Amino acid sequence: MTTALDPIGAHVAELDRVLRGPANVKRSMITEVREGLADAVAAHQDRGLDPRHAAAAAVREFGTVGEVAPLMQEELTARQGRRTALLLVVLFPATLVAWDAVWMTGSGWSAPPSATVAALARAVDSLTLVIATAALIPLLASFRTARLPRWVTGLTGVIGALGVVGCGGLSVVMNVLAPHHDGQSLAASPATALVIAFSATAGALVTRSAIRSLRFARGCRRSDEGADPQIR
Amino acid sequence: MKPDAVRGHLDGLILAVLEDGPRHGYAIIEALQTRSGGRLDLPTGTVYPALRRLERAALLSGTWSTVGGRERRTYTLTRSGRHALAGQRADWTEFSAVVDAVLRPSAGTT
Repeated sequence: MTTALDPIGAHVAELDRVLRGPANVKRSMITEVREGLADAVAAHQDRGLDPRHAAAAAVREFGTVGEVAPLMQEELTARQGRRTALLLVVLFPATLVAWDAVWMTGSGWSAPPSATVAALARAVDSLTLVIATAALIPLLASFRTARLPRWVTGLTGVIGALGVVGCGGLSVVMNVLAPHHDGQSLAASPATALVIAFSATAGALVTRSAIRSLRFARGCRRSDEGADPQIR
Repeated sequence: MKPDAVRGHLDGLILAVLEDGPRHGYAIIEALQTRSGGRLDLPTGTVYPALRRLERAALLSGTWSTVGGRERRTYTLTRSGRHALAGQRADWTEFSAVVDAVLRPSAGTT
């Protein structure tokens, strides 16, 4: 595909190439732009332009990739921040509840935990709640603020990284220190194995999203002039 | 009107053209051009991220539909969007009155 043969397709493909963000949101935005450009071509043809000139006019009115992509990237970055915050707010408390269920149903360790392990367990619980509460702030901000600064997305990445490293690290230490009698594995119970799998999946999802938040927040170029300062 | 002057008010302008009813992206662009008498000199591509920004802030709601084999994302002003528009209008009225009062030549100016 060349710009001369298909200016609309080439313009949209270039936008698609330079933008980074949650796949479903990016796909939806690109589709909307493509359909909007097709509408513009149709409108120009209705006014008497031939298809080639109509397409060229639509692309010219749309603006260059350099003008439009930073604004689209800004929004994709905000969406990534919201996604990370939402994962933290939902998955961290869910993991806490799942592990509490394991202990309450007696599916955990057979021997009572040592004072050190019990203290570590309380620390994991507390840190989990702190992380989820901290993530609630950028999550609410993403719903209330049209002009969301990119550092908010970076903040969700930092909170996510702290949560995964903190809770994950403490959990590993706790399991190393915990008593395992007669080769008993923590994953011997199906319910416990399920919760371990859930925790690992949650950790992987949060880690991936947090890394993307940090990357997009760092890489997104400033284009604050595109937003309305009067609508927060 | 220069793009830089328009951009600072784009979100409010979009809310205003959706006050009459739902529209899809290009219809919003056409409404902006029509209501401005064609004087808004703005890259039309900047309207699409603004729509997503307003949707994220719950000032608009957007839904996909297929019309005549074409995919359309239609935007509707939400209750919060109407409140934001009312606030925007009040702010603009106050701002323009103040600027007008200062810019207007005084009686003693020759």
